[in-house]
Formats: sequence, structure tokens, C-alpha cells
Amino acid sequence: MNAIQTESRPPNGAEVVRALSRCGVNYVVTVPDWVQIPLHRALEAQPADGIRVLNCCTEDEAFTMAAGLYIGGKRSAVVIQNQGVYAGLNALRGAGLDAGIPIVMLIGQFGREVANFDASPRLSSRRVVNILEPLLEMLDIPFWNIERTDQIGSIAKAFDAAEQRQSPVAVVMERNMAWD
Amino acid sequence: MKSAEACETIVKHRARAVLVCTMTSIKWVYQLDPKGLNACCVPLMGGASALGLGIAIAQPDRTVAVLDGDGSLLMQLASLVTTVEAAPRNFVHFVFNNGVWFENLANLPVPAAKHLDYVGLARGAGYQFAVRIATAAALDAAMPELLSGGGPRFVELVIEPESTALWSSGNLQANLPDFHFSRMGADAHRLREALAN
Repeated sequence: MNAIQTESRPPNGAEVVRALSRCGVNYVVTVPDWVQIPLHRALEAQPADGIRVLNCCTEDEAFTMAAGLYIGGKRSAVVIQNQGVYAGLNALRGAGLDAGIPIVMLIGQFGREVANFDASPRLSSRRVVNILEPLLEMLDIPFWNIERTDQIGSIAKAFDAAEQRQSPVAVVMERNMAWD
Repeated sequence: MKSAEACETIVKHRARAVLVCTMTSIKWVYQLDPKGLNACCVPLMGGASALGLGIAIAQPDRTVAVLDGDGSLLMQLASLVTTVEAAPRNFVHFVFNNGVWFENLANLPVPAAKHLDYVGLARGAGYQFAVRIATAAALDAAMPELLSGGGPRFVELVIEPESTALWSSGNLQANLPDFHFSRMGADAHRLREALAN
């Protein structure tokens, strides 16, 4: 695969793990996401001293546990899908927005149709997709979209912004991540 | 036992432990030990267990005790499962089973309060240590072991709810001050700084 081909495909799991490691992430707190399954697989394949995965039953727990990790001096990323934002909204409000805690979300755009790939997700015919960005804007949560590998630097920008704002931020994985 | 007695007993034994409080326990713990390593989960009913779990994972050498409500636990019942999965040895989950929401304010009934077996729920989730404690004396005797590691531990506290100051037409509830909506963050940042030093 040449450089142009790499840049034009979505990032794979190992690339995102490396990006998270460069940001000093100790933990991934997650309710697994369909779009980011290659990331889940890459996290499983890490050595024992790599990023530790904390599996939650609900996104409410994921947001609040991430807040607890921050209080305890650790850095985490919350890996969920768009539905998880909707499900855990009150915990994100309380533990993130109201408490002023920098929670970094990696959100998979579950359900985005192929016909929408070259357009804004806001124009998706599927509500589960098209309400995400307006919701984040309404909550004053900045977000970065990742469609291709050359946008992976947005993860570091998101962590920097979360610390600077002392508030939640989001990285939105717009397409199913690549497997290799 | 009363909620106040349970909190007094826990605070008496806490030493360097972090206490994560919600609902009724906030009132008592912050009166009894305002300068302790306290975090509160408010207004975010149901969040205390996961908040404490995160702190416990990040601070494995320090005991973290969550002082949860029964109604709060029911809102995030799956947190029992998540805790067992993460299995921090320094984590103790106290649940104040008073059978009501808004103790001594409204005392509205928690669903199925007369039938729920919280220890059974914890054991079903995989807790190896889950006990029910009904008196302050028994709690006092158990505290050294409860805070000694070997967790996660689950403790149901059988609480008799107070009903001396219930809201009514002659005792109206006050409007909540801004402090109620900012204290969780203020405590979180204060505790983070204390744990870093």
C-alpha cells in the first residue's frame, strides 16, 4: 500500500493505539463500538504494560469512571458509539460538563450509510447519525472528524483542547476503521 | 441503624481513605469530616459507584469507599458487574438501604424495597465478599477488615430512614443553591490535587 492509499483509508486499530499512547493515555474506558472494532482488537493485542481496557456495562459508567480516573491522576479515552452519547448524556453532563473534567470521547458513527460518505453526516438519512454533531454543538463540546489516516493528529488536538478547556471533547470516527 | 450513625462509624475508621458520597451520606460525611478526602456525586444520582471505581483503579494503594444509596445503585445496577470485572482490591461499596428516595425530605418508596436482596445482587454479579450489616455496633466491629484491602467488597447497610423533617405544606422544600450544582467539580479538582501530593 502506498502513502496515498494509506492516507485515503480510515485509520486502523494499531494507528489509533499509537496515537493514544503518544497522548499519554493510561486507560481506555469503553462500551464496545461497532465502528471501532479494529481498535478493540488492537488494544487486546497490546503487551501487558500497554493501555489497560476497562469494560463498562453502560456509557453512564464509562463517563463517570473516566472522571474518577482523572481525579486519581490518570488519563483515559472513552471509546463508545453515537448511541452511547445519547444513552449516557446525563452522566456526561454531570461528570464532564458540570464538574469541568476533561473527558475525551472517541465516538463511532454507527449506522452511517455508504451514500453519505462523501457528504456531511448531518445529511445522513439516519437519525442515529445525523443528530450527533448538532447535539455536540448544543452541548458546547468541540469535536474533530476522522475519515482518513492523515487526520489522526486530531486525537492529540482533542486531548490538548480537553485539558485547556477542562471540559469534554470528542473525536468522531466517521467510517468503520480499517483492519490493516 | 440511622444514616448518621453509619456515616459516623465509617468516618471514624476512614484514616486516609477516599470517601465518595451521594444522596444522604453527603449531608453527614461533609458535616463530620469536611476536610477529609471526600468526593461527592451530585446532582448525578447513580454515578457514585463508577466515580469511586475510577479513583480506586487510579489510586491502587489507597482505599476508596463509595457511600451509595439504594435508589442510586438501582439506577446503575450494572455497576456491580463493571466493578467485578475491574476488580480493584482497594474498593468498598457501601449501600445505604433505607428503602426510600429523598430521606427525611419526602421518603418516597424505592421500587420493590421490601423484596430486594442487595447482597444477593452483588453475589450474583460476582462479588466474592458481600455482607449485610444492620447495626452501628456491628459496622464498627467490621470496619477494620472492610478497609483492609482484599476487595472489591460490597456492604449493604440496613438503614432506618429518618422522618422528622418531611416536606409538607407547612415545611416547604428550599430552592437548591448554585453550590449544589458546582460542588461535584470543586471537590473533584480539590481531591485530584490532594491525591497528587
